[in-house]
Amino acid sequence: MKIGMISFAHMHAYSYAEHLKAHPDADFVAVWDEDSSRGRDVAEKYQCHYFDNLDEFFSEDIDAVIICSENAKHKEHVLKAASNQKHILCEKPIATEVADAVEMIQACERNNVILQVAYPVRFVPAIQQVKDMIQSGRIGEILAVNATNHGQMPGGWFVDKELSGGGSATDHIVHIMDLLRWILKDEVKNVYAEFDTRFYNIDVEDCGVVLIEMDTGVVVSIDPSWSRPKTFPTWGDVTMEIVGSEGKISVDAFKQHSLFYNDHEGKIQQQPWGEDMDKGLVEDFIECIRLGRRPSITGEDGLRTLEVVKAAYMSDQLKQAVNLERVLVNASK
Amino acid sequence: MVNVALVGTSELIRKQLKTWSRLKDVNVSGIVLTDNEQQSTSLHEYQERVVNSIADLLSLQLDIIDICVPFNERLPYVHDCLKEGIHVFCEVPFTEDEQEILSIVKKYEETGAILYTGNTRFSPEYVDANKHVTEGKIGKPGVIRLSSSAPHPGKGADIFLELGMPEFDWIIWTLGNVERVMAKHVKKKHPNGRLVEYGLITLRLEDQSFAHVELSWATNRTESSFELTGDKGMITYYSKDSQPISMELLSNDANDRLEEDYKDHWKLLQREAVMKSIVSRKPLLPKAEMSIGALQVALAAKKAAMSNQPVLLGRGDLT
Repeated sequence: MKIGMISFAHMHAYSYAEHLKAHPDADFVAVWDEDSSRGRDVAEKYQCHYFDNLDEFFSEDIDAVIICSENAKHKEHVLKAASNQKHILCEKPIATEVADAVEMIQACERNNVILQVAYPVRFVPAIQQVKDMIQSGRIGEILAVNATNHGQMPGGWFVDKELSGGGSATDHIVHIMDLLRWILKDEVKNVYAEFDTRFYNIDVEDCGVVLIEMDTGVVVSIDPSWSRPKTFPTWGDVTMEIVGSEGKISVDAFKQHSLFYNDHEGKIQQQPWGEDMDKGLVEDFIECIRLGRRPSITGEDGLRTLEVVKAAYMSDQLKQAVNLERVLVNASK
Repeated sequence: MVNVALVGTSELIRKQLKTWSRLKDVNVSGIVLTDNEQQSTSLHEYQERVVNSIADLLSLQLDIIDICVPFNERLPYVHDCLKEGIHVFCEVPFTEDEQEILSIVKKYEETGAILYTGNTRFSPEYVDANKHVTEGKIGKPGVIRLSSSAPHPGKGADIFLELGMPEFDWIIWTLGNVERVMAKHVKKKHPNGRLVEYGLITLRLEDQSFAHVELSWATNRTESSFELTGDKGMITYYSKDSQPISMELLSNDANDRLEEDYKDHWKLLQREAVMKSIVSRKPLLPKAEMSIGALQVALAAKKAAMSNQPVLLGRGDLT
């Protein structure tokens, strides 16, 4: 199976590329990148062909693409890939606007290509086990979730609203929201959120608080802040305290690490030794194509989490809780 | 010597006696049980000090009365003790009416009786954190996360008031007044009668920083934590990772409970401070009326959780 990659703007692209190279059933054959210097470096590193022209890239013999461009460019690249009949793994968030996400989903359906959204945390073994525990009723009826997806401020295009669509809220709410929808099999009913820029001199929000009520009455809190200091030993976290009627589960998705007290670099670093979630995501995408099955994480999954982000921004503007209105994808065709 | 009397349920008095008995120069002069007098035997060496009523206590040498009843029963005892000119120690809350607090303080100023209230301002980890934040160690505060959990105390308890007020008080003390409150609350009763209750509260402070408070009565353990982030750094604390001693005994019959429970050490420090205040006749901060700010936040959180909309608080110095 021949895979191409569109842009290495998102840092996860490098991890996906490593796993593509290592996969026995996949060949990483081509890369297109708007940044030609970066694109050529990638091509040399991974021994693939660099294209600076997107049409020429798509005329190459490839079965699927992994899109890691800036958030605002996902729509253009997905529509192009769909019209060229290439299966797609697209970085999160699916798009920066709900209407764009709908258009992307419909285009992929029309062209009968797979659209999978990159939510790699689903492939952390501990998260999968928590899902099984909850769905088997180990802690009874789920009542509440207190979740964090903290990070360090990533800089670059992530803080350019034209390219990113927003700051930490856009970057981090979606990961937790996807997990909760997947684990709880539930949808969001209403959202209250407040955001602000407190840590850095940037033009997008870098912190905030989000309170959610799900359709079933489960209450949720999400902290998506870029609040990890520069001295923090890792990039961030994904944690959930899940409260049920019979007990509670605490999960820290990246707990499996050693600590390296690095005198040479003058810092303490977490050294993760758990299974690589990106490997799980890439392998799942490839298998999905190979078997011709429905993707594990669909375009609609991406749309639903984006809707929550948009509702959160509206709530922040209004300083009121807002009810979520979900878009019907099929009706929009 | 400070003469202490305790008024309350046998269970709560037993807990407080554990603290008072560890202090030097303390004499437990009398005890009034409000539940079952026959429970006096569970007080062991103190059972002989049990008397029938507060009136009986007044004939004893007495400096302070420690009120040890559930929160919705505290107010009458506070009045009964203060009006006799005796200092009172009472956990917060003891009323949901902030005007009541002010009127109590004013009313008993004339008798000289002081109302001392419980709070986190004596817990060393919270005092230390307050100092670091107010001295600017984390810079401009961004998101302050606090968590407090304990076993459910039973029917009639109020999670926002009882578990929340100490957290809200620390936030006001450290960061200043609260501008806006939003909250979510869930409560479930198991068929066997067991209660599970949980609250999530977000605060917007007047300095525009955020505070997130998790309150949990959905556990068997008493734990707390904080994570304080600002533009110059972060301070974290987890009570479960802060116990200097752990012990495991191999025998199935063994009791591996430690004699010294470091989690409750702050209660000792607070009562020690109260004793010093009584002996020196110097005031002790925080004063009872300083709990009004925390009460306002707790009541706002209750309202926000019911209405599913944020509640604005008025301005005023409640630190």
